[in-house]
Parts: sequence; C-alpha cells; structure tokens
Amino acid sequence: MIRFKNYMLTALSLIVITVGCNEWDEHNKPSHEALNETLFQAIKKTPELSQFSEYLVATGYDQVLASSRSFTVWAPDNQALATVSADITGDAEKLKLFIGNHISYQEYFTESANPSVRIKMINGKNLTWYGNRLESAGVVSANEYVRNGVLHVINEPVIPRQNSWELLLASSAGPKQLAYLQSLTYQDFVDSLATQTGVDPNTGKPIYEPGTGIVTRNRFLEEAIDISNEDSLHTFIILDDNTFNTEFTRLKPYFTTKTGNQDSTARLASWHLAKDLVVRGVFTPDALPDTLVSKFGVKVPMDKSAILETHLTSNGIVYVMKAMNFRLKDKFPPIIVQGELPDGFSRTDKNVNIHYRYRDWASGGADLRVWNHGIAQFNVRYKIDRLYSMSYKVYWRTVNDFVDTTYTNATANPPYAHLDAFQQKLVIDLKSIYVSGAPAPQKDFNYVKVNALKANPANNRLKYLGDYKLDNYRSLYLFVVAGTATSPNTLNPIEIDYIKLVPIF
Amino acid sequence: MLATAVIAGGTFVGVTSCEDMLDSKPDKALEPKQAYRNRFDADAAVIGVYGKFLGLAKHYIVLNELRADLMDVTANADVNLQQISYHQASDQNPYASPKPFYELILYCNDVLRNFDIMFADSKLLQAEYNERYSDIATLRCWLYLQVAIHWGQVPYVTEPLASVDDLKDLEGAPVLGLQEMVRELIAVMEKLPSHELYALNSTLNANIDGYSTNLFFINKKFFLGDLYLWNGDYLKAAMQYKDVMMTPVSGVAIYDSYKVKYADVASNDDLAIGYIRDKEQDYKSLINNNTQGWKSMFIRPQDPLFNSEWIWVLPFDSRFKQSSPFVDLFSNSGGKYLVRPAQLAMDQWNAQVQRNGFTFDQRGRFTYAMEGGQPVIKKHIYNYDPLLPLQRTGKWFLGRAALLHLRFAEAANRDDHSKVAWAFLNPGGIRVTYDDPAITDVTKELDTFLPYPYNFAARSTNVPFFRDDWHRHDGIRGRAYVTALTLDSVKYFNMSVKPRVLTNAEALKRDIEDKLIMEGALELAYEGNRWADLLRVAIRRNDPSFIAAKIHDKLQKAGKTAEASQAKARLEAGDWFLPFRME
Repeated sequence: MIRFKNYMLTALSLIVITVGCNEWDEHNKPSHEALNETLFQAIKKTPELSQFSEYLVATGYDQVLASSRSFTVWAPDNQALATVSADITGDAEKLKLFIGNHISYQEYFTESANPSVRIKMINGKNLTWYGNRLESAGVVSANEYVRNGVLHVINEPVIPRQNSWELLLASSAGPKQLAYLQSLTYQDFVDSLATQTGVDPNTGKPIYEPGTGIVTRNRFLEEAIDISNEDSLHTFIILDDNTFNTEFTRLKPYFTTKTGNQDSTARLASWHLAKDLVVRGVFTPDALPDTLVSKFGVKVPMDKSAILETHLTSNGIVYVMKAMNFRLKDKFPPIIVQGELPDGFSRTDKNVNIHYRYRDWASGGADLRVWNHGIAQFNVRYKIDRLYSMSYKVYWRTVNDFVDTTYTNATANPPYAHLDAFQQKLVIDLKSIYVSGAPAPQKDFNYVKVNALKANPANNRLKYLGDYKLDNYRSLYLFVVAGTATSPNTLNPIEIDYIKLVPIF
Repeated sequence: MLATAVIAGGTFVGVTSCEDMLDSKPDKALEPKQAYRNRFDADAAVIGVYGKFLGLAKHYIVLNELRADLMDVTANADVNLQQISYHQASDQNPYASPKPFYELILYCNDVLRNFDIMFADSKLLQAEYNERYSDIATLRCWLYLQVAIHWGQVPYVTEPLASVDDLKDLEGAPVLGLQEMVRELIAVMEKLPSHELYALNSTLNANIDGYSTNLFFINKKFFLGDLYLWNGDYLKAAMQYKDVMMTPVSGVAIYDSYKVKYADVASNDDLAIGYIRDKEQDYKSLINNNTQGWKSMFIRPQDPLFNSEWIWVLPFDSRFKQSSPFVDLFSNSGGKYLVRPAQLAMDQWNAQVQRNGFTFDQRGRFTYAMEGGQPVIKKHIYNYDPLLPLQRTGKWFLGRAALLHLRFAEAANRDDHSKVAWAFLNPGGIRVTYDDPAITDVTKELDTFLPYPYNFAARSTNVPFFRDDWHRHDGIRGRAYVTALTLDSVKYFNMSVKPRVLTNAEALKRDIEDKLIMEGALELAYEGNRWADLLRVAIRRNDPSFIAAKIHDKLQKAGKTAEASQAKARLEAGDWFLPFRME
C-alpha cells in the first residue's frame, strides 16, 4: 500500500511538471533577438558591410559563416574595401585568401586581447588582435554577439602578407642565397600519401601509381628553421650577392676536401653560412639588438646601418643586408670531447676496468677512468665527426684523484690521499686504430705526467698539449694512450675529463 | 536436497509477497552471535581486523609523512592535503579526522570481548587465546599510540560499542594526553599473555600465495620497545629491540636476519647499495634491478632476503581484487600525483658522499625518481606498472630491520651507550667500531664486552674458529655505501688524559641523536615513521624548535615563506596536534 502511494505521488509530481512546461519555454527563450541570427545574416543586414557580404558569397565563406561552429569576423566596411586593388578583387584565389584573412574560428572579444593575442585566421595566416585594432586596422564597432560568433567592424582591409619563404622566393634581393637555398629542395616519397594500385606478385611489395606520394622538402627548412610554416616566428636575413660572396670566401678555406672537389667545398661552406641567417623570434628594427643568436648557438652581428630593406611577413620579419661580419671564432666554436663518451677501446675484454665516474668537478658531471688493466699502451678512442680544415690548439683536463675502492681505505679522509703520479698521452690520427711505431700517426703529443691531486680538484685547469693542423675537412680519431708499463696498476691508468680543440685563425 | 527445497520455497514466497522480499534475512552475513564458534572463526576475526586495517594505509602515510619534513604537496593536491603539509588543518579536514582509527579500535574491542567469551566457553585453548588476544590488543595499542601522536588529547575506550554510530558516546570516556596514553599502553602491553609471534604450528602462521602471513601481524616486542622509547625507559626499550633482532627467521641464517648485513660484493645478492666488484668507480655498474641491492627490498617477493629485513608488511595484491592506495597518492602516470619528495629531503640526499666519491646518496635516487620532469616517490609503487593501470599491486611497509636498528641506537645512545649507537650508524658496524688495531688476539676485541642487551660480538676467524652472530653487521650507512660520519671528540671529551674522559654527555647524546634522526630521513623516508620520530625527540628534549625548524626548512625550501613562518610559530608554541573532531 505504501509503495502504491509512492507511485501516486511520483505520478502527480510528473503531471505538475508537465503542466508547467510552457512557462519554462518562456523562461528559456533568448531575450536578445540577435542571438537568433547567424553571422552571415548579421553581416547581410548591415548596409555598410554590403560589399563584404558580396565577397563572402563570391568566395563561398557565406556557407561557412552560416554553420553552427563559432567564428569571429572582422568585417571591413564598404569604404575600406573600396581601397582594395582590383588585382585582388578580380582574382578568385586571391580574393578567397583576402577574405579568409578576416575570419577566425572561436570567439574573440575586445577583452580577449590582454594586451594582444595572436589568432590563426581561417586562411592559415596568423594575425595579432589588440582589442582596438586587428594588425593596423582600427575597430569601428565591436563585440556584436550573434548565434555563432562575434562580429567586429574595422576601417581598413587587412591584406594577407606573404610568409618569409614566399617573400624570399619572390624577392630579387639575394639571388645567390636564393639559388643556394633552392638547391636544398628535394623530393621525397611518402607511401602513406601515394595511391596503391596493386601488389607485385614476385616481391610482394606494393605498386604505386606513378606521380603520387611525392612530397617536396627543403633541407634548410627542416634543419634550420622552417620559415615557410605560418606558425613559426623568426627573423630571417637575406644577404645581397656581394655580401654572400664575401662571407662565403671567408669560410671556404675551412672546408677543403681531400680530393679538392670544389662542389663539395662550396656546398659545405654555403651551408655553414646560410644556417645562421635565421633566428627564432621577431626582432623589429626598433627592438633589434646588435647581436642575435642562431639556433646553432652562433652569434649573428646585426649592423643596423647595413640593413637595405625590411619586410614584415605573416610569420616574422625579413631583413635584406649589405654586410654581415660573422666573427670566425663564433662560426667555429671550440670542440669539446667529453671523456665519458668514448667511441671505443683498444681491447674489448677490459670492461671491468673501465669506469664512468660521477664527479662534481668534471665537465658534463662525469669523467672516464681505466684502472688495473695491465696492458701496455691500452687506449681509449674518441671520434670527431666532420672537423674543419684548420689549425687547432689542443688541451685536455685530467684529474688524478683515484679513490681506492677497498672497504678499509674508503673511509680515509680526505679520500684522495696517498696517490701516485702516472703518464698518459694523446694521439690524433685518421685511422680508427692506434698502433705505436710506423707508420707514425698524424700527431703524437708524447707522454705527459698526471700528478696526484693535492688540493681541490676544481682547481685543476686545462693543460695545453700542443697544436695540430688538419689539412682536409673530415672525421678524426683521438686516442688517450696509457703508459707503456704493464704493471703496477699505479703506473698505467687512464683518466680523462675532456679534450678541447680551439681553432686558430 | 532439503536446502534446495527451502531455497525454492523462499523464492516462491519472495515473488508473491512484496513485504517479505523486502524484509528477507541476508543469507551471506552472520549475526554477531553466530560469528564466534571456534578457532577458525577467531582466525577469521583476526584476518578481518587486519583487512580493515589496510584501509588506514593512505591516512597513515599522509599523517606521518606529509606533516613531517620530507614530503611535500604537488600542484595537484587539494586544500586538505595542503593544510596537512602547512600545519593549518581545519577541523573539517578529512585527514584530520580520527574516525577511521576509532572505527578500527572499536572493532578490536569487539573482537577482544568475543575472544574472552570464547575462552570462557572453552571454544579456544589457552595458547590459541593467548596469541590471538595479544595480537589484536597490541594492534589496538598501536592505533591508540597513533591517535595520541596526532591528536594529543584523545578518549580512551576499551569497551566494545555496538556500531560506529556510537562514536558520539566517546564523550564519556577518559581523555588521555600523549604521555598518559603511553604509560597506559605500556601497562596494557606488559599484562598481555603473549609477546611472541604466532607459533609455528598456529593456523595463522602460514604461507599463502607467496605471502608469509606472519609478516602481516604487528610485532609485539618491537612495538613495546617503541612505547618504552616514548616513555624514556631506554634500557627496557633496548631489550625489546634486541630480542627482535635475535628472533630466528625461517630460512635465514641468524647472522643475516635483522642484522643489516654487509654487501655481498661478489654476487650482489643483498639489500645494500652496491656496484659491481672492482667497478665501484663506474656509475654504469650500479646494482639497480628488482632482485638485487637496496632497491629490491621494496620490490622482491617474500623470499629469505626479504624476510631478513622486513618485520611488518601488509600486501595489496591485484590478484585478490586489492588496490594499492599509494598509486593514486604518488604516481604521476596513472595516479593522481598528490605528494612528492620535499626539496629539503632531496637536498639532504644530495649532500651525502658515497664511498666511491660520488656526491649523492643512491638511496635517494631509489626512493624517488624524476619521471616526466617531476620527482615521484617510488618506494611504494615499484610493483605498479603504468601500462597495467588497473593492477595496483603494492605493499604497505610498516617495519623493517633498519628502523629497528635506528630505534635501538636511539635507545642505546640515551642509555649511555653512545658507542654502540655509533656502531649501528656507521660503516663497518660492530666489526669496525670495536676493532682495536693494537690487539691481535681476537678473543679480546671485536666484541662490546657489555651485558645484555648491549652484548654484540662480530668475530669471523678460522683459527680459532669464530662466526659470531654480528660478524656481518655493517651499520646503516655501511649498507648504504655512504661515508662514515665524524664527531668532534674535543667538544665532548677531555682528550688531555688517557683514556679520554667524557665531559659533556648530554651534548654528545644530542649530536648522535641528531645524526640518527637524519639517517632515518635518508634510509626510511616515506615509510611512515617520520613525524613520530621528530615528535618523540622534540618532547624528550623539551625543545619544540627541534621539530619547528625542520618543518620550517621544508616549507621555506618549497617557496612557501608565509606558511613556513606560520607553521614554525605554531610548532614552537608546542601546538603539535590536529584538531580532534568526532562525528
């Protein structure tokens, strides 16, 4: 009986709610009439936006703005659109790009910009919204809120800019640099983009329709900074031919190849020049420091008096320059070879004797020690890939702090008491194996005494070993060679924190 | 056949009569009067208490670690956890509620009364009654000590209440402060009929699914030692701890069990921080896997090596639908990542020097790890695999040999045996501390030559043949491969006479005690002992600044300057407790 009563109550309450429904409709009804119309309807009914409305229809964006997604439209009024050249309005593709430069997804109000926000437009370009202006176009009326977005009216058209890569391709300011960068373009095959027509019955491999799946790439855009990407923000430098030649000539000697192949040298030197001609971040002329730093850590001197042209692009800023005095010591920084990152050892059976040690004082936080190996001239091999053809001052840092690892002495304090001095040497060669005797290696720096540590190891400085001249641009091997004795252990260990090669100009 | 008929009949009635269906009696639950009929029911009651006890794991870690100086909150932590960390807990804070503890206490009370009834009705033999009653009574004492540590003035009830709704009735119960509570609990513990583990032939001492059940239950002597330590009965405490150290462990040699033994440098099958032999200088040779070395004690199954260290551990095993609460608390991959190691704790590990010259303490790197750029406490969640997010296997670590040794050292130090404490702390242990280079006769050295409980011998010679019980003992820092600590003897001894004379005993004790507490931070972080350790020492020294300075440092290093000074002021005023709220 009780349960039945409950049913009745529930039923009654439902009836009450049903009866009350009409009032809820009233309550939920939008009070603002504008919320019933779409962006396109709102634009269409505004007389001063009639031209913009026509262009929307012409480009097909009217359909987009009638959809249920949210948009923001910055509509230039008729007066503003009258200033747009026929070059744009007469070309369907250019017109679509132009109109698309005034529409974005999502809703941006004047207060969304605090103080400014970068917005991706529907044509892919990024623009800056300051609340009272879009780029340089001032706002006439703002924040008209309709069903699927926001409408602002602006007093200037916002002409879509080229991006930096498009600007470079269209520019005649630096033909040499342009030609070099274009030479880095190549075509790649991506199977997921290709159309498969069948399977080769013999190999089982897929057959693709010829001409499909081909993608054009550029090594500069991939390895330096992609200045064709609308979302990147960069400062790009174009050198005029004269400057490009001058800098190229300065770099060329350091890329001498073994065969004397001038093409290879030109390719390498050009890359070494061009890779540092782009910097992350937009540095406008008023905020331009005298030195920028490239992605590769190279200092880029910016002489304001050498700027020939300045172009704002959709994804950054481009300077055309008539001088670019890179300092060679910036272009060729010292090379540091960390001891704890060896390429190999003279024997493979001595793993137990090779110790990678954490040390606070060591470069990179660690060093390498070889101890108790019992092999005359045991050596550690390091490899430097692609070293420039020039002379170097060669240094190393070694610290003889051998802490005995047996238990009883381990608690000795300080831990580096009662140590012995030992000898080791550095050898440079083109071969990957060090053999004492003939043929002599490229450079043998002879044995150097490594004295036992007496004080704080942080005070151990770099030791200068000598100079080395490399004739050709190539890879090189460095060997740290232990003493000639096989015993006792204290006479032939190896310790190396790092080796440093400083270019001499 | 009869049963089937009854069930069928019951179903029929259920369908026809609405009222009967609603009021039907549960067929899978027992009435209280049916629950305690024989020994197996008593066993079920014990297991039931510990099953419920598992639910306290998260609460316990949060209260004992987050209130202390080694654990900090992350950006994900809610205001309740922040309040606990900053010592600003409101009385609405769920972590500040003692209710879960009291629910379990009342449950224990109920079980204990029923054991009494069973014993009176001869349903339990004397031996069966003794071990079960003592176990649950000890657990209740442990819960009361926890409650007193965190809430200060708390009601003390030993009578069962019918249900948790009666918690309000606690108002009539006597209210005890921490010191009174400790004395009361000691009185209870001393009267218990048994202080031993469950006997070998006990039905509660078994091996089930890879778990030795004996590790589930509280160690009564260990806990009684803790109570004596709180109460300042240092000799009694040391005796209890010593007895635990000498307790035989099944499958483990006497000189390995609970001895914090030295590294096995040849096989690395040990619980020490270690490197491959002769490659100690090579960071690539660190023993870092799930079956060897210090880290493995938190990961390995319950094998002899595990049993040689762990004294009290409860499992969360996903095979039995259990889920470790620590994954949510600690993990940033599948968990909520609510707490993290405090900067203070990380700095303390990095201030240590290993015996191979590396300037950090590898225990820290095993206790937490940088994962996705965030420091994550790993001790409790090594058995959790983020790729299997629903299998939250883990353990609740409650007590192990290193904790036992540090507590013993704390007691010995206060009982005027600072040298024994020193041996327990430093590399080489008894063997090195009691090795006199001037003596060649081993019968005259490598031995404390002290009476129980400070009698330790560490000889290991073949002629004459000795394998003393403590010959493998290595000290906490020895096993952890960090360098020995030093004391400035001039401060405490008159060195101008031979033998030197101790002139400032209290200062020496404090210095060693500070070092023991620091070692607890390095070795036992996040295992739930920290707040109690700090509080005990602060109370013993009558020095609130001992605890206040540490909490202040933690918050200061975390960039919480205002919270740091507030917490410091509060703790220095002796305001150590959470608001007691019960509803």
